[in-house]
Amino acid sequence: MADLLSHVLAAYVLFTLAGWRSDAVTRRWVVVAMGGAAIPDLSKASIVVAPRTVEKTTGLPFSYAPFSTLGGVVLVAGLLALLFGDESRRRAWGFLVAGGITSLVVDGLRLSIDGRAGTLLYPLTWWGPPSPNLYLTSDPRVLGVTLGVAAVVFVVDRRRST
Amino acid sequence: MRDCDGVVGVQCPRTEANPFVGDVVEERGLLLGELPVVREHEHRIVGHRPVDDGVAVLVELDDAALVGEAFERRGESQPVQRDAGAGLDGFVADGFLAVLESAPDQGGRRALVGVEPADGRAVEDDGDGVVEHEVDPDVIADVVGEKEGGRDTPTEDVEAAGTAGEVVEREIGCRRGIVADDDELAHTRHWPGRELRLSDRTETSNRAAGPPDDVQGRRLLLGCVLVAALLGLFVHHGATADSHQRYPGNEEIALSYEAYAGETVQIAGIVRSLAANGSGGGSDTAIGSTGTNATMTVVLRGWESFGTLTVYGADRAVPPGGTIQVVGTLESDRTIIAERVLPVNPHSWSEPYKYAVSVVGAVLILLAFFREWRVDAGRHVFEVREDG
Repeated sequence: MADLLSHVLAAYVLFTLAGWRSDAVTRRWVVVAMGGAAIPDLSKASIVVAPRTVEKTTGLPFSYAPFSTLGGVVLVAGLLALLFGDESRRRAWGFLVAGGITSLVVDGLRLSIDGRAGTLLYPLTWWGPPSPNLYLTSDPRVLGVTLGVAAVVFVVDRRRST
Repeated sequence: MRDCDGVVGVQCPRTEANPFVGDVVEERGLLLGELPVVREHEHRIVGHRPVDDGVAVLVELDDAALVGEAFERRGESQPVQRDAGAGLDGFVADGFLAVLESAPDQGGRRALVGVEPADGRAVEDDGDGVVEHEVDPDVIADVVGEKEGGRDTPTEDVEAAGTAGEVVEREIGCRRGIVADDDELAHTRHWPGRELRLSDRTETSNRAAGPPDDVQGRRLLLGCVLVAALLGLFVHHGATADSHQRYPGNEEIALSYEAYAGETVQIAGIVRSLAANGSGGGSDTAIGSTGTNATMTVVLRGWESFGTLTVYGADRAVPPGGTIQVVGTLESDRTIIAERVLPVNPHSWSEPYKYAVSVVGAVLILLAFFREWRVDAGRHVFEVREDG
């Protein structure tokens, strides 16, 4: 999984570009999509509480991996959307899910030892899409490229809005 | 009224002589402009008017020590001060008449809320238009007058309340409600030129600000459903993911090593030591290079207590502290003959780097989000910042 900053910047770039084509994607919704892009990274909760600890405590099998799947994104986005008012809840949910899917797609491009992107579509299917093995998640160059593109988009976006 | 009963007047600026309206007395014991205080009288006053869509107007009083105090009776006829009716026309025209209620055994602070019909129906002489009252425990009124023994007289200023037998009026909001600090509910009058002053708040109900309870309830219910579904995914994935793996993983090896000996496995390991046999072995300069026949000692990630395994034939060299994924054949002597090796974290600093950068990303999200959104404390939701 790429780092959270890369996920967020990738979502910023994609949704800002979308905003240039559609008036529906305003800046306030771009940031909501950026928040959705962070949903898959919630699987890092395993750093705080290990799954084995949860299993020992509850006696049930447990895994944080669903955070990094389509099912987890949809459900967490639903929970987050409840924090928005009725007038914007559905739209917020849509942008949160879209941002989360953006991160799943970005993760699906990374290097994989078995050539598969993982079970990103869980619980719909355990099938893992093939990965193009484009980058290594811990490679700082990934963040460098993302930062550069995001900076260009930021500057252009500001000029467009002034 | 007994002689000992205190009559509490109203201190207010007198603007002009006004018609004496206090003699507009309803036949059933309720004076217009006075304080109907008996609950059973209320029904007659209220009649059957619905108040669901009424406008509540808060009326404030302090009746902390009402217990045991004399209580006005509805049948008492109260001489009305000549100035009492000043400005009443406006009140009547507005259809307001506060109905204050208290009970002899009422102990705590109360603020009474008269509910006015939304249509602003005028108060009739017989008290029609007085519809409902509610209790609001959060409001306290001001001190403005004093007790005068046994007679109804114009009010005078008082210095302070608190001494025994001293009665200090409280000006009770927008209506005519006045109650003394000794908690005797007094007759009230209309004061001249006075419009709604203290309690000029109007509400559609006496509920605290915020979303309706059913909306909050729906949100809470839906949130519980989503949390339950998410927990279900966690458990389901934990229970079934192993059966969908192509190769046995760390957990299977750690729990049943012998059962998987001789099989192809896939592990994630943290490198403890490196002994490369090919070019550049043992140095960071060769890290990630291909063609290296490296030997690394690793521990299974998440199962470090299982101990070390030795990986032979790795085509990538990763220094201690790095993380690798290995697909290979598990041998019975705690070794793995590697087929493929992927350096997930090729440096010891790779993982801390990802975490640090992720923290920056989280901060960036929060900053960007709250530039555009803010928390609506009343509704407990995010709403768009007007200045965003």
